[in-house]
Amino acid sequence: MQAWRFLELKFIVGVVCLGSIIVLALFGGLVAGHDPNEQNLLFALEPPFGPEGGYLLGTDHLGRDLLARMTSGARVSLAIAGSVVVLSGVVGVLVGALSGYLSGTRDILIQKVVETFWAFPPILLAIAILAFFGPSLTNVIIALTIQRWIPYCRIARAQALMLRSREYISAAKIMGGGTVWVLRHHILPNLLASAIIIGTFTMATAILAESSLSFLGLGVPPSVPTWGGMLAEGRSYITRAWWLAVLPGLGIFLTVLGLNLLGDWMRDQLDPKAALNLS
Amino acid sequence: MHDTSRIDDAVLEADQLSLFLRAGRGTELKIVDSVSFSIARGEFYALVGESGSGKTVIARSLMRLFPPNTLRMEGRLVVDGVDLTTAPASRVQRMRGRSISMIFQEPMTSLNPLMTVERQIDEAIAVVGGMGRRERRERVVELLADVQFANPGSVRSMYPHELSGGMRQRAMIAMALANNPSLLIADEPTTALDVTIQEEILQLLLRLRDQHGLSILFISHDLSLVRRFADRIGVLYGGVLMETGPAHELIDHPTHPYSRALIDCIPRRREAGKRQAGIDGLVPGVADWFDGCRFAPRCPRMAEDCRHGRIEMTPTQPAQVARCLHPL
Amino acid sequence: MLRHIAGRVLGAVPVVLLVALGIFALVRLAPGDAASTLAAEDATEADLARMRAQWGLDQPVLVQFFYFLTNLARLDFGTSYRYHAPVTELIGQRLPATIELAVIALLIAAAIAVPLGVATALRKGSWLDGLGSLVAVLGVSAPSFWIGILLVLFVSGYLNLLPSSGRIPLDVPLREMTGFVLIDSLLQGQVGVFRQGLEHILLPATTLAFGMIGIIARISRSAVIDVGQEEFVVTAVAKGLKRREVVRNHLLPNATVPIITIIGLELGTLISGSIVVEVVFSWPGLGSLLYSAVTSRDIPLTTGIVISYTFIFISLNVLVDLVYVLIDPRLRVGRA
Repeated sequence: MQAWRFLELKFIVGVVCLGSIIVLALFGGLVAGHDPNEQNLLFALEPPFGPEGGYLLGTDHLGRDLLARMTSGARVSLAIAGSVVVLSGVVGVLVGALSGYLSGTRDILIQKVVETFWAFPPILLAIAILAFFGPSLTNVIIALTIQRWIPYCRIARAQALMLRSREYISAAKIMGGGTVWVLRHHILPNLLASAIIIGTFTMATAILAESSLSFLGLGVPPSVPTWGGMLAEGRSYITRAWWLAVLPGLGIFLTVLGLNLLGDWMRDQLDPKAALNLS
Repeated sequence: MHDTSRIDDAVLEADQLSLFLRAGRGTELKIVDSVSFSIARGEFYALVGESGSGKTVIARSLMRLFPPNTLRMEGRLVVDGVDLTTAPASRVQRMRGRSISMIFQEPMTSLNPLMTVERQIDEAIAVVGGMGRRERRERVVELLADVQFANPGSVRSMYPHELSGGMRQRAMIAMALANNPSLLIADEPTTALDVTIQEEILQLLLRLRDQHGLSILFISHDLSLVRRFADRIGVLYGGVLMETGPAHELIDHPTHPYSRALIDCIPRRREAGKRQAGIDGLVPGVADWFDGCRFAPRCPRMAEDCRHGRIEMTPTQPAQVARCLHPL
Repeated sequence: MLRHIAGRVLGAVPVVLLVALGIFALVRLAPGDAASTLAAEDATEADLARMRAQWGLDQPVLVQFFYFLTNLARLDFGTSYRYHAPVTELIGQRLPATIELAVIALLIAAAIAVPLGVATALRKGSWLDGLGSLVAVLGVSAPSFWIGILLVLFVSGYLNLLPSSGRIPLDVPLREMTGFVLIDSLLQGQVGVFRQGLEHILLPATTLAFGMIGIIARISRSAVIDVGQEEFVVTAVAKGLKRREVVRNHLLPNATVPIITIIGLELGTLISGSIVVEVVFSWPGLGSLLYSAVTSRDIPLTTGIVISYTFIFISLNVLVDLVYVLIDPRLRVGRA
C-alpha cells in the first residue's frame, strides 16, 4: 500500500517538475517582455521580483532579463536533448537490429565497435569531439549522441537475435516483406516500451551533459543563452547575486529530476514486482 | 513401530494449521488449509507432495522463516510445548537451532561461500553460549566425526566450494545437530544429490535419529524414496493433507485415491530415473481455491458430493486417516 | 587465477587499439591540415615540417596510424604550444591532484552511500527506504557544477568556512615528493599544511561525491537485498543467530563483492565528473588542464589528455575485475 502511494507520488512530482519547465519554455518569453540578449546596465544584478525594471526573475551582470534567458535555456536544453534521444533511438535500433539480424562474424565485429564507444569515459568523448570540430548545435547533438545510442542498440540486437530464432520471421521474409517490414512489424513494436523508458533516462543524462558542455564553453555558441552557460558567466557574481547561481541550476535540476522520476515511474509500471522491491 | 495415537509424546503437533500469504493491499492467499499431524520423539515423519503442494511452506513455517508480515498462521503448531502461531518473535528465535534445526535442498547455496566449515558450525554452537573457544573447537571436530567425515581435522578448514555435494549436506547436518535439537526438518535434502549419496545421507539421518532420539520431519516429493525410511507418511496435495498413517500401511493400503495414484507412479523396480506416466491433469494453484475436495477434478472416484462443502479427516484404517468421502 | 588475470588484461588489448584508432580518426577528421592542427597557431614552416616528420603526416594513412601508435607507446604526445612543455610532462604534473580528488571523493561517497544502501535494504519499504530512494534520485538529478557553485556560495561565501579554490595556498612551502598534498605534508610532518590541504579538498570532493552517493546507495541496497534472498541467509537465521549477527556475518560480507564492483564501475563517472568539478574549484588537476587546453585549442595537449583519461578508465575497469577475483574465495582457489 505504501509502495503504491510512493509510486503515485513519483508520477505527480515528475509531471509537476517537467511540466513547469515545458511551460517556461513555451510561455516564459511572453511573460518576460525582454529579449534574452538585451542588455541594460542600469538594471544590472537586479534581484528577482525586484522593484525596478519589471524583471520577474531579476537580471544578470549585464542587466539581461533572467526570465527570458531561462526560457531560452529551457528551449535549448529540451531541443538538444530531444534531438539526441530521437537520433540515438534511430541509430541504435537500426544498428542493433542489423547486428542481431546479420549475426555471426559481422555481428561480433559490430559489437566490438560498440564496445569501443563504451570504453571512453562518459562526456570525455563529447568534449574531445567538440574540441576538435568546434562547438556548434549540430556538433553538440552528434557529440552527445555518440555514446547514447548504445543502450538502444543492445535491446534491439537482443530482440533481433530472439526473433531470428523464431520461424514466423522467416515466413514473413518469404512473403516478401523484407528487412524493413520485419523491423517495423516485429522488432519495433516489441521495443517500444523499453525504448520509451531508456529514452526518458537518456534525455535526463543528455540534459546534464549538455549543460556541462555549455558550462565549459563547449556547447552551442554563446549568443544563445543556455543554463550551463549562464552558470559559467554568473559564477563571479554569485556572492552578490545568489539568483545567478540558483536559478539556472534549478532549471537543469527540475528537468532532470522530472525525467528521472517519470522514467522510474514508467519502469515500475512495466514491472510491478520490481516496484515493490524498490520502494 | 510407533503408535499414531501416542500424541502425548509428540515433539511436534500441528492442529488445523492454515497458512495465509499476505499478497499486499490487504489481500491474503490461503496456501495451506487445516493441516493436522504430529511427530513423536524419535520418529521419522515424511511429508510427501508434488511441487506446489505447500510442503516447503509448512516446513519453513515451523521455524517462522518468513519475512515478518508476509505469512499469517492460523490454528495450532506446537513444538516442545511452544505454540509457534502465537509465540513472540524472540521466543521463536531462541528455539531455532536449539529445539528445531533445518537442512535444505541445495547444500551448495545453503552454506555461506565466504566462511569455512568450522566457522559456520562454530557459529551454530556459539548460539547457546557457555562454551569456550577451545571447547567449541573440539565440539566442531566431534560433530564432523559424527556425520562420518573420515578426516574432520582437515574438513573444518575448507570452504564450501571445496566440498562435494554430499559432503556439504553432511556439514549442514553437523551444523544442525550442534545443539542437540529435538526436531530436525529436512527440506528435500537429497534431491540435488546422486542416488548413491542420497542413500548415504538417509542412512546417516536414521543413525542419528537412533543415537540422539532425534525426530525428523522429512519433506520430499519422492514417495519411492521415503517409503523405505519413514515411520509415518503424510500425503499433501494443493495445500491440504489428504492422508496420513504408518508408512507400510499407507503404501500397501492407501485409502485416498490421490495416495493410490502417487503410489502407482512409483516404478516397480528402481530403473534409473524411469517412471510411469504421472497423474492426468494439473495441481490446482493456490490462487484458485475451490469448494469440495481439491483432488476431485483429477479423481477417478469423483462423485457429485465431492464438489461441495468441507471434507473432514476421517479414520479409514486403524492407524490411518484420510480426507475423502469415498475412500478405497 | 593467473590465467583469469592474463585473460582479462589481454581482452582489453583490442579495445585499447580500437580506442586509439578512434582518437586517431578524430584528429585526422578534424577540419584543417593535420600538421597545423597539431602544431601551434604561430608555428613556423620549420615547426610544421618537424611535426609532419614526427607524426609521419606525409605518409599514407596506415603508416600515419603506425606513427601514432608508436608515439602513443612511447608516451610521446608532442609539445603543448600553450605551456611550451612536453604534453606527457604536463599530464604527469597534474595527474596526482586528480587522483587525490577522486580518491577522497570516492571515500566520502562510499562512507555515506554504503551504510545508507545497507540500512535501506534492511528496512525495505520503511520511511527510511523511501528517504533513501529520494536522496538517490535527487543526487543523480543535480548537475555537479551547480552543487559546486551552491557549496561555494554558502560554505565559502556566506559562512566563510572553507576555501573555494585551489589545492593549497600558493605561499605554503611544500616539497613535492609523491605529488599528493595530503601524503607529502604528512611525510614532511607538516600537520598545518595537511589540514589546509584537507580544507581545500573537502568542497570539491564533496561535490564530486554528491552524484555518486545516490547510485552507490541504490546498488548497495539491491546487492544486500539480493544476498538476503540467498539460501545461506535462511540457514543463518535457522541456526538461531540474532538478526544483527546474520547481517554482520553473512549478509554484509557477501554483499561486499557486488558493492565493490559497482563502486569500481562508478570510477568512470568520477573521471568525467571531475573535469567539471575541477573547473568549478580551480583544482589544478587533469580536468582543468583539459579545460584550458580545449579553450586555447591546444590540440596536442587535448589529444594527450583525452588518451590518458581513456586509458586510465579502461585500466580501472580491468583492475576492478581483478579485485573481484581476489575477494571471492571461490575464484581465489583457481576455479575461474
